[in-house]
Amino acid sequence: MTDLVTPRVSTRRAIPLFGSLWPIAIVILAAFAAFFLFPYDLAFLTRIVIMMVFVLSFDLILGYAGIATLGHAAMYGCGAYAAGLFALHISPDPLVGLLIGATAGALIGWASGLVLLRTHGMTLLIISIAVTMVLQEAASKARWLTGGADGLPGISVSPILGFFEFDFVGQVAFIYSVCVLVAVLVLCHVLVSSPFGLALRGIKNSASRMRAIGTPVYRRKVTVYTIAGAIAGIAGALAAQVTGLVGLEVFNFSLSADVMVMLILGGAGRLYGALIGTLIFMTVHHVAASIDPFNWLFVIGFMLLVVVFALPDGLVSLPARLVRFLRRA
Amino acid sequence: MAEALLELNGVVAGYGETHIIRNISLSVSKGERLAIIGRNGVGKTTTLATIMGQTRQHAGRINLRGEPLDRLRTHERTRLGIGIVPQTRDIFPSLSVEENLIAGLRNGSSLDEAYDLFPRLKERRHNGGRQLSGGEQQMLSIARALLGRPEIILLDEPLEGLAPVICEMLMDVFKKLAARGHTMVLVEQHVGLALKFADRVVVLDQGKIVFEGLSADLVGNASRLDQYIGLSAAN
Repeated sequence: MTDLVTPRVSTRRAIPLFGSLWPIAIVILAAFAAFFLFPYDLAFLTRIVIMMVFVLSFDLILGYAGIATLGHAAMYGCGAYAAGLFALHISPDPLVGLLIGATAGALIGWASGLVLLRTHGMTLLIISIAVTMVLQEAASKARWLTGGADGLPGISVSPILGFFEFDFVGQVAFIYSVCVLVAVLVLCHVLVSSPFGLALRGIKNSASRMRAIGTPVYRRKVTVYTIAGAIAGIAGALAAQVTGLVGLEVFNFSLSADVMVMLILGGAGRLYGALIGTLIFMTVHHVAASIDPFNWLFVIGFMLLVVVFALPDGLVSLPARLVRFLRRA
Repeated sequence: MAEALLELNGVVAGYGETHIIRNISLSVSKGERLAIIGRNGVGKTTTLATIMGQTRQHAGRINLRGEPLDRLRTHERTRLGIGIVPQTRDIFPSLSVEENLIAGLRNGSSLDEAYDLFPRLKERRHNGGRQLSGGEQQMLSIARALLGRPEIILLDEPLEGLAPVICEMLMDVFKKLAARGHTMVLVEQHVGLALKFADRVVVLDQGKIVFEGLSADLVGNASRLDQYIGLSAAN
């Protein structure tokens, strides 16, 4: 028999602490500090920021909706190619290019999601990998359009808003990427705090329960997959614009796997876990690979093992765990 | 005779190829309170799950307001006005009480409706789903189902595992809902409470209806109850 009185009373807020907007201010401040502290590493920092956008998109589908795929590079790659081709053949405007990248990512997300999301588990994983492989092969064969194995070189974009031209050091590219990251972060925050976001979390908990309270689960999944596709497309477009090159490696399986590792490392379903995971993964990768180019994966693997066993909610949960530990001590 | 809201005609259903309920035909009128009782494993929960489209229906027809439900998916049935409070309560453990309720909001319903019915939930609105007692979880499950503005509510063993004081409180809530005009189908192991609550009763045995009639016909009739459900229930 259970009774009404529950001894443990929590003061948890309806929208968790990390659901508030102040972490976004921290992101802006951190970017501002990095800009001045590491003026010669801006190209690397820009890569981190772009990857953060990409991992955020993956957090929407894995962290919030519980859809585990290994083919997220499909949307990123399509966004990159679309923005690259758009800049080369139609218009060099970077903001319109981002929009084109988002549209391409959303379209491939929607089209593949219609099929993928009818499946579960291993089938879903395999089909998502297959979609990316098909796209990579198609990009390789369509040499007349994509440049095949040589990729799309020489992509250049016009000054942002007509004023800010991409410079050699990478200052404008970094600031541009940070602005896109902040915009995506705000969008994701609004999305996950909305009833739609709650429905996604409910679907992750139990799809059958959500159906029983009237939620069209499949439609919600396709919608979030499309939105995540758009954001991944933005990340791809940003990469194409900043590096000036798109190659077949944008569809690599390792990219999809890295994104999953970054998210698990930081903590899925928290948004800010995606940022922390990306930062740690890419920094460790950068440092470890420069020390030992052949065995850097050992460090990443070891780190992942420690996090999975000691911090199953990811590095983002470390402060709360420390506080709990200190209180007990 | 009152207008039939929900009708099952010759329904055969189960999980996969297995048939759990066989040739079930019953009708629930608008505003009626129907109890489905029977021993464990006779198909009571499967009957409700079949109405919700959560099982494989092999034969028969299910109609709501005369319209067939058979081809509709679970969420479409819910949106047509069928609400279910499942046996497992099915609250979302990672969401707070309020978030659980928001997930169930439909057709202009508001959280105040839930809090008016269960003030306890308002006090606990920021608590996580997994921090609730069994009684509170049941209140949340009922409140969430009601926020979908259902015309007919299917209650699957809502009193299971709850303290007597909570059972009484929930039975009062069910009476209140019935008085507001909700049609209610109650599956319950507490036979006495179920018979006291319902206008009509259906007894299932081995997936078939073995008795259908007024609750009053079974109340106090220990020999018939013993025949259908077993001696302990009769007591």
